[in-house]
Amino acid sequence: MHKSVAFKYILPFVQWFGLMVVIAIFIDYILHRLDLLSIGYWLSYPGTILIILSFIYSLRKRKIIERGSPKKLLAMHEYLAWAGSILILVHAGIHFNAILPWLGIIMMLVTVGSGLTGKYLLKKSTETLKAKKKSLKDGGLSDEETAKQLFFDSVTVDLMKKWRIVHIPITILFTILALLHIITIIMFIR
Amino acid sequence: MNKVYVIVVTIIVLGLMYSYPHIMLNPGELVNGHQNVKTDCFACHKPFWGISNEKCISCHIVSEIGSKRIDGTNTKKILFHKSLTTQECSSCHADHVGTNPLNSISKFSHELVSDDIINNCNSCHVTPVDNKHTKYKTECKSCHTTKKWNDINAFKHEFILENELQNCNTCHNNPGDEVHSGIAENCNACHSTIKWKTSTFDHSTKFILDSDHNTKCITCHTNNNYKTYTCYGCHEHTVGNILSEHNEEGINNIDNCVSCHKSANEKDMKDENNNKNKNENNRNDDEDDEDDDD
Repeated sequence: MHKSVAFKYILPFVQWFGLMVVIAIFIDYILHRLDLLSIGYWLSYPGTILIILSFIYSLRKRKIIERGSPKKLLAMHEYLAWAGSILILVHAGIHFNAILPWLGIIMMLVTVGSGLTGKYLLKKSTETLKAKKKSLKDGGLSDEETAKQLFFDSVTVDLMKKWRIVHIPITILFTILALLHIITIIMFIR
Repeated sequence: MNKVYVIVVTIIVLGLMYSYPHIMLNPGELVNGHQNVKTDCFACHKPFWGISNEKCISCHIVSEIGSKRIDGTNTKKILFHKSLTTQECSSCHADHVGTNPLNSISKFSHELVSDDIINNCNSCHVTPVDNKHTKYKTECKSCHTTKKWNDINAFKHEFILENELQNCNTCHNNPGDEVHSGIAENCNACHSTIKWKTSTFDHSTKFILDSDHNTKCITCHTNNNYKTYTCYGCHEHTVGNILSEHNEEGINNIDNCVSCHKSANEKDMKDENNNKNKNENNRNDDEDDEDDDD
């Protein structure tokens, strides 16, 4: 029984994204209950540090640094960015004042979504599509019949491959908005 | 192509920040009095430096701070700002926290003001006109500290005016439970002013309330008077049947049952010497009555 690509990988994608939001809301709720709102403000520092550390993988991938296992660094990239984003979400809270920080938050969520797309949807779904194709061919189906059977999965995977084109510019845009926010905070420091 | 998108979006964001700083960067609404500079961040902020006192006092004359309201009318507040020469304005005042001026006072410390002001709380604070505060004969600082107004750390009942001390209900609510619901006053018959929850009264030292006497207080204690009682508030005991039971023992004083009975168990009597005395008193009373008749 072959599960569809969408069922097998979109579900964990949604789970990880949802878990990030739920954890952030939970921490924010606890801080409000304990009247420790100032901690939310300071969580921006560890959050930013975690996200910056997650970019070690990007440096390794572009051979700016030469040490470290790319596989381990990729895992670190995924989890550090995810955890850092939780802290930044708590830092942001649900306050609708200045637009710039909110643009930064929106871009951060888009970036995390884009990263999870790479982690779950593209990488794993490509592997699954290949495995299904091999299994059908081993079962004696022709190329044409195999293509018919896997039509929707192939379309899904092709769409997701466009992720590579958008992930890096999205990340750069998020970085620029975050930097503008940090600079303006320092600029207008009390 | 992607680079072009990123550059274009960045330029748009920068343009919006420059043109509409109060929308793009403002972390919260400015106080009413600062609304006229809401689009000019640098009216108060010195870039990468913070908010300097010079910026504040270029508009606010220190010696007059507090003397006038925004609408120009005078106030009666103590002008203590004129003695503050070394403090940063921003150490007490914040902004971007809403239009209400009261929101902008974030970290006021009483240590900033002189002793003569500290010792005259009413120069800044208004005495609450609630039931509690109008009954006190003492100074504010007897109960309140300068750390936190609600930090009441030294309340004593001696602070209350003597004629108000009996009116417990001015400050305390009747618990409203089964025991207290019928009681309107005389709290101090059971409670002391040392601790509200610790009642000094134990009913079993007077009379043990068994299952036959599990009834409302007012059955025995009528007229809200807990210093007296009657055993004839229920259908079980009547003057007639109690008299007929006690006559054979020569007892005819049946008003103070508890002087002999410590529970509903008629064999569970108080000490016999006491009872003997009671009986003798009863007999003496009878003899006196007979003498009177003579």
